[in-house]
Amino acid sequence: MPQLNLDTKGRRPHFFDDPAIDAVMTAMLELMSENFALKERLFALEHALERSGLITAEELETIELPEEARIKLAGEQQAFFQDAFRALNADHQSPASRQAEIDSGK
Amino acid sequence: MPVPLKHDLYVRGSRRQAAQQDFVFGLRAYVLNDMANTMKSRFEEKVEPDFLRATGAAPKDGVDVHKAMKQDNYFRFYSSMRYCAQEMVWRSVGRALNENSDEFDEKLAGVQSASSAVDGSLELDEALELPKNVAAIDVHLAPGGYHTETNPEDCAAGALYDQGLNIFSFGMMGANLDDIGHSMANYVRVKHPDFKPRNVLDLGCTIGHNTCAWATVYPDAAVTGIDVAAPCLRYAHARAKSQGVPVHFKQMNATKLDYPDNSFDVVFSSMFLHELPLKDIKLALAEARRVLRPGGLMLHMELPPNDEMAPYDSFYLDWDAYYNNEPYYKKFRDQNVSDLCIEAGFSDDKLMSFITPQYTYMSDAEYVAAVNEEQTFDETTGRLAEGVQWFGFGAWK
Ligand SMILES: C[S@@+](CC[C@H](N)C(=O)[O-])C[C@H]1O[C@@H](n2cnc3c(N)ncnc32)[C@H](O)[C@@H]1O
Repeated sequence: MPQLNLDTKGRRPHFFDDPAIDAVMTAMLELMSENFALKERLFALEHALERSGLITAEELETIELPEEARIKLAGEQQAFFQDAFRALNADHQSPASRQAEIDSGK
Repeated sequence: MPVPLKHDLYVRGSRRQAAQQDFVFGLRAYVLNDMANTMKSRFEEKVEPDFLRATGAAPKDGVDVHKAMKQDNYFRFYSSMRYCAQEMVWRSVGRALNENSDEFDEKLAGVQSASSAVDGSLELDEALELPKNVAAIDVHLAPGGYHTETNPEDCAAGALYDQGLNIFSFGMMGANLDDIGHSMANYVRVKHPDFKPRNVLDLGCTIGHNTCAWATVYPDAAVTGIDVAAPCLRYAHARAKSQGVPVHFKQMNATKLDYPDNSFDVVFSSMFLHELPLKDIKLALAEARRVLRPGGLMLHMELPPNDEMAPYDSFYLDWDAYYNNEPYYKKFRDQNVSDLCIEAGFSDDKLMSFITPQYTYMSDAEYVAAVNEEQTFDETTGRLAEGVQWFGFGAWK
């Protein structure tokens, strides 16, 4: 099969007034994906160690997680989203307003 | 977590690639379920009251809601995450396919050389000119779209679509990605038990996942899927063969069908019309009517029209039109579907439209009971999230 192109053609929309924030969001999600993949591999490794005390590269590549571990991982993934995105729905305060508040002694 | 597709063309990729796909799958579920709910509360509690105070009236339609929501940071986070997730669907699957292309080739060769008890076929038309709506844009951000091919056997675009849809739909379209086809065909079976189609035509069938559902629900019918995109049709043919479902695939433009008048008992499509310019939608509906036999049924599964939806729900569904490379989508949703059918020549006492729950996640008996209850348009109609219901419309000839 020929190699697929991975980039979408056309201009990318930005949602924030400063497109840099959209770029940071993209980098963050990629980082999260990488982090998730690493975590998944660690889970598998732990499982393999527990089961046999030995790890072969082949085993690491093909071993299937048991059902409970799959469920645990899915739960951790959703909990991570809750954690990482907790500021998205928060009330924000500008530095100027915060300084005024502190300076006024309230 | 995504389940492996149930056919012999599935490529899992390395452990790392599978985990990255799993991440995007979970991210889509989080954005489209949890974040979508928070965004709606945010609209009700803050954005709408602010709008009312500023303008003296509530938002009158989806466009008004969109204007107000664009200023809201939660909408911006939701959108940038949903946009990235969409790119990551294709990137994660594309990477797995690229790095395992030899494995895919072997699997494909295995399917193609296997002897088969079922009678399916593939007919391509090299001279067919691709319509602009397919050739000019990467629809829903899929790199290369439906049609890109680099050799006469290429079916990579089909593989990307199939495995991409498996991540994109985050488990909401059935393990075989055919819930829409099953929900539509079973609706017809349950509601019209005396209607026994001898043949079925599916317009814009892509990889035939929903086409195959008709062959399963009506095993005595000859089922044909047409599309303009050759790489998807090649893949569709192999996929159906691997699943033992007899379907004929033909490369053809739905606006100019190469069939005589009065040829089919059912002309179906799903998620197809909204990807066409309005003039082509009208041509496709008129063609559907022409090739239908008297007494036959034209049925389209589609996004629900804006005139049936509350302003917020209308805004919510139109996100794709603005941000997912779906330039014709809003124009379609702004139409009155009954008017479209009448303009195509159907008589107004032969129209049909309905909302159905998903067939895949209940027993047949539960489904029969569910469709015998009247369903109405609401926020679950056509919205890919938990509790989704599908909208269908069409007419009898
Ligand atoms: C979103 S896909 C449809 C998906 C599929 N029917 C389903 O149920 O998921 C739209 C398909 O329509 C095809 N298409 C677009 N314009 C067409 C036309 N004028 N005639 C036939 N197929 C067309 C595209 O190649 C693409 O495969």
